[in-house]
Amino acid sequence: MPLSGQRGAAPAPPPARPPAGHTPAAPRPGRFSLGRAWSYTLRESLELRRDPVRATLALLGTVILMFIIGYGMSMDVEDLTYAVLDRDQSGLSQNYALNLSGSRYFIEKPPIADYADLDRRMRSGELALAIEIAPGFGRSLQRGSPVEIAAWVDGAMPQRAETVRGYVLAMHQSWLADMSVHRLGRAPVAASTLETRFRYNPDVRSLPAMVPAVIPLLLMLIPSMLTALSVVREKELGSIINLYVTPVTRSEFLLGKQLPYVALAMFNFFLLAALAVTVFGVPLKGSAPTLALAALLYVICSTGLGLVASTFTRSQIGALFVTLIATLLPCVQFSGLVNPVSSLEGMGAFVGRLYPASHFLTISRGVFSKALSISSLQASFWPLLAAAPLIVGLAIALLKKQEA
Amino acid sequence: MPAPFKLPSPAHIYRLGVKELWSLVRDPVMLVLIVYTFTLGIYAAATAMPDSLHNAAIAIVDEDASPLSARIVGSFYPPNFKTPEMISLAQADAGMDNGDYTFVLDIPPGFQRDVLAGRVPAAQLNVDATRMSQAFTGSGYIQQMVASEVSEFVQRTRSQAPAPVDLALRMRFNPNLEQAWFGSLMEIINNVTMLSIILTGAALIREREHGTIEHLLVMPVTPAEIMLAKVWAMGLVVLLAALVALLGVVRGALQVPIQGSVALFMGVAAVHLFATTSMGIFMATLARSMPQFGMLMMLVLVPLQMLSGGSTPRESMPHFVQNVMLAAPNTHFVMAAQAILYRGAGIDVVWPQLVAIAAIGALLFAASLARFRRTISQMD
Repeated sequence: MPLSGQRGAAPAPPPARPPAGHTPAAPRPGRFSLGRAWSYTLRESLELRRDPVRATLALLGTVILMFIIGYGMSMDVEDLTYAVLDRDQSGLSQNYALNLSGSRYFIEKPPIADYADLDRRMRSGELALAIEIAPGFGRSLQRGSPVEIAAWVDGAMPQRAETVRGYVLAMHQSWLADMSVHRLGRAPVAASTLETRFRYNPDVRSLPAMVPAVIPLLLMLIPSMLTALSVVREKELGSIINLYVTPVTRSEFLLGKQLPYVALAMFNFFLLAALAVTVFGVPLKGSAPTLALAALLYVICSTGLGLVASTFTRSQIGALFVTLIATLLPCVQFSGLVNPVSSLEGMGAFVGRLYPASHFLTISRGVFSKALSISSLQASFWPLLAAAPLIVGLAIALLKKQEA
Repeated sequence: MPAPFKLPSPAHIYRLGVKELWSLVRDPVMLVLIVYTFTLGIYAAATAMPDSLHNAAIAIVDEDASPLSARIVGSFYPPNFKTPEMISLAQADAGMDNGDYTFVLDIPPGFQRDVLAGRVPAAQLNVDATRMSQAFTGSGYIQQMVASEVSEFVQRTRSQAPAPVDLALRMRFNPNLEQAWFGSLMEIINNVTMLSIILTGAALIREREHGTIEHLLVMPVTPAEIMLAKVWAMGLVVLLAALVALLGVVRGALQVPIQGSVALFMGVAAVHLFATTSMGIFMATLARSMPQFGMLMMLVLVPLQMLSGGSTPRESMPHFVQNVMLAAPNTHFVMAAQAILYRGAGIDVVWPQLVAIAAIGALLFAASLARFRRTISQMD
């Protein structure tokens, strides 16, 4: 270690500003010295290198997580279970049930016997949808009198229920159109049509939408956790005394420590981006340098957040906990991964607008899927540009040069 | 240190557990963080999640400027949609590129005239399909809304036969599909898992790094007793926190009606805590230091949260992922919790999940017991 504890071991108050001319070769303490910062960079890199398990976990872990989240988190709702309570048992009612079973979204379960059966099977979660056809359905329909089909959707998971509702309505409409063709010999004529164009992701597949969004998630969670212990660990194990009693300033100490993690995170970013393009086949439509620049700003933020957690806590467990709270929930729910930030409400909306992950997510999707240039992404670059020095500055301000 | 096998002594387990509780009480930062996660943290997560289609950003290019197009514009309003922004065709692309609008509806010139003349004109809807959650449901909604506005408008001019078969769709267990009902409960489950792993696993690593675990290992207590003490003490803390969150935040502040038995839910949560605290100890036997443990925890918590069925439906995941996730206690806990709290299911319905969680817990406990003395007593 290049810095030893002897030189600045002065009586209290601590030597935040040792006398001038103390070290002729080095710049005056108090002013930023690249040399001293670099020595902490070397120290921290050594620590990373001597604990290969941690760096491997970080790199390999993000790759594994990208696979499981990329493939696992799917917004296409399929394979929904349903069953029919057919109390009519006429040709027409069976025709209606048949219409559903032909859909690729639904899987038919054995018919429902009665209301008690319907209730029990919906409560257990076995059925996402139950259809009830009342007695006399076919007869009334033949006569032309209005009839009703009842459908119950399991609302326990609102997003899934919403999708089920959409599917059922669409299938009901198509059945009506079919009936009209069969019975009246003509298709019902709509007064107008609506052409829907799904832009940026024309097949509306989950993967191209998810992968560019998973990169910001992982580049927040893992780098912040890597730096989260870097300061507090020294506090807990006692080596923080090197900061207290040597001329190194707080900013040299922190920036020096941060640099190797920024480098590791950038390497991680290139790895993930390369995987996205090659293995996942998500085309990078925009400019790679733009994305890399944004990633650099972003990993400064995420490693900085870890440092903030590390400077104001006193125990490693506390720092772990704070980092988890400060990254997991905001990243997964408040930064637009699933729901756009503009639709969020309350505290979540406030956090989401400020949180760096939201802005990097917009840039990542913009560059990957929309081929946007840096000028059209300005609105997301400025917040990142402001957040990076702000977060690192906060960490420096929170770090004490001497334990109170 | 070869210890002869003996049954764990309840007195030892009790006293060691009380020791764990004291060390937690003496750590005010942890207490504050625990209170935060189970109150404000859950409240924030539950209230942030928009209902499926909430405040969707829409812009309309009205090239027709007719009474019919005005009707269509007027049909979009909060809370499902934001008040539509009226833009020109030229602004549409930039607005979508920036992500200002998720939907842009273009009503072409002569739309009303063509509708009335029976020429079936086409309006155009542009959807930002990178926002998957809104793209699907939103475009379906808009399709219906435009169609019904147009058909109402037409019906005033010429009569049309009503649809012969009506579909009565009802949402069970959550009639208005309020996302807070779902979000708050899932957040409790996430926090229960996170906290129990921190409290047991990280605490064990700390004892190891400080060398205090050595004191325990030379005392006449067995690893099984040390582990069981941690399981009951930390499990109890998290269980109490979860109960406060369920009654105080979810039922109290968020006004979520709880259908089923809270006691049954607590019972399942207790079994789940046995599994997750054992998981925390197991992870502590794998990691050599706190930084490694931190990494390991991230890598375990993220899939547990995102793939257990608490964020996206299990059905839509690939079968491989579905099967792998059956090995995680969270998956079963999420299923059981949804059944109990929303659908009012009883033990007769959720017992398979209960058995699964208990089996996973026993397995994790046995695995950590096997590794405990070998790995804990040697520091790196």
